[in-house]
Amino acid sequence: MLATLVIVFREVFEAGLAIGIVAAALGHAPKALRYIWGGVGAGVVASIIVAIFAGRIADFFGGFGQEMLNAGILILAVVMLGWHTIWMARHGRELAQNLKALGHEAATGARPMMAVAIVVATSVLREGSEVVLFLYGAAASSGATAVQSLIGGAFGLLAGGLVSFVTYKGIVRIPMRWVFSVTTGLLTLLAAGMAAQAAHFLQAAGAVEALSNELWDLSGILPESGIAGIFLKALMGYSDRPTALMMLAFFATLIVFVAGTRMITPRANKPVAA
Amino acid sequence: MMLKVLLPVALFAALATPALADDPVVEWSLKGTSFDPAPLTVEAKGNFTIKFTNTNPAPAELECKELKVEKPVVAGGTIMVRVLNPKPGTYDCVDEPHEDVAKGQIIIK
Repeated sequence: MLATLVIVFREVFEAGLAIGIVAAALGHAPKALRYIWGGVGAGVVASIIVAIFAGRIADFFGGFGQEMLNAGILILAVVMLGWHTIWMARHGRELAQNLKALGHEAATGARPMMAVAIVVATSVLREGSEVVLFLYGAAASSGATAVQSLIGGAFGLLAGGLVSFVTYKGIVRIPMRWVFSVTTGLLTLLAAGMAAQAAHFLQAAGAVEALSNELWDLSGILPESGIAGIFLKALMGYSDRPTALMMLAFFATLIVFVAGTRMITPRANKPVAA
Repeated sequence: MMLKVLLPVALFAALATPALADDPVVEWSLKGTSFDPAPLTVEAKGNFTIKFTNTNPAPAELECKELKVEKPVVAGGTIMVRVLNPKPGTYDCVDEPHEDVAKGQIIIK
């Protein structure tokens, strides 16, 4: 039971951290919860569908269908994070200053909430189909083992959910004037990490051969499978043996997000001490 | 804005053509809780691909942490797994859903 718990938790942790950050970034946006839960629900349904067709998907692209699917999902999430981050750079300051101004959304154009829901859904889907496959396998085995595995799985899911909640609570406790910068920074890191992992999947599928040389090996110092490594991987796509393309994808995304945000942020006059 | 959305999508479509790398392929399989051959010995001069078959009636997941391998495989299914930048050494692998009993090793020479 403990083994199942640990395995499921490990799978869910990554999604949980991302969802917690996204939820905190949404903060008090109208209907934020509806979009978060909608994203989770869509992700779970998609996970089940992907798990059902896992055998078929695996056969695409010469046996690398799963890697290509993962790369596609990650790139979609990066684009959606970019859309939301750029939009927030344009309107976020006004939003923060006019939290109580009703009808403000209409004036600035609707915030791309759907983009956020898609990021949540893709985060769930990435780990979800494996969890579904795993739990299905556990349930198919017989008797006491099955029950124990499923109980372990349920606790693993619960623990993963707790990670989301603690992350969310931790970020929203940050003082109001910092929270916007912090969430923007975290979302940018998250996106850069996703881009790096997408690069990894494209290379693991053999779709990209360029820049697949290993840059360095930190597996002795900060192994990807250790607690710190798992956390950093979930947060910013950490790899202890990154390829050149992974690093390129990471920094290119970072630069595009930071430069894009800078360029688009309206030059606000410093507000008189609020 | 449109460009920002379209560019990565177009780039992905261009990259997504299944230009399969011509790695050497080695076969490996899971039977019950044992891997066959055990251990899997590979003389690697560069990247290689493992054609992995799960002969069990339950889903499995081939996981070799230090080789960056983590891929599920359905009951009776076969998957392809690329090992990038291999270095000589002995690497532990497991069938993740049964990681306490189903253990295997890959030796890279």
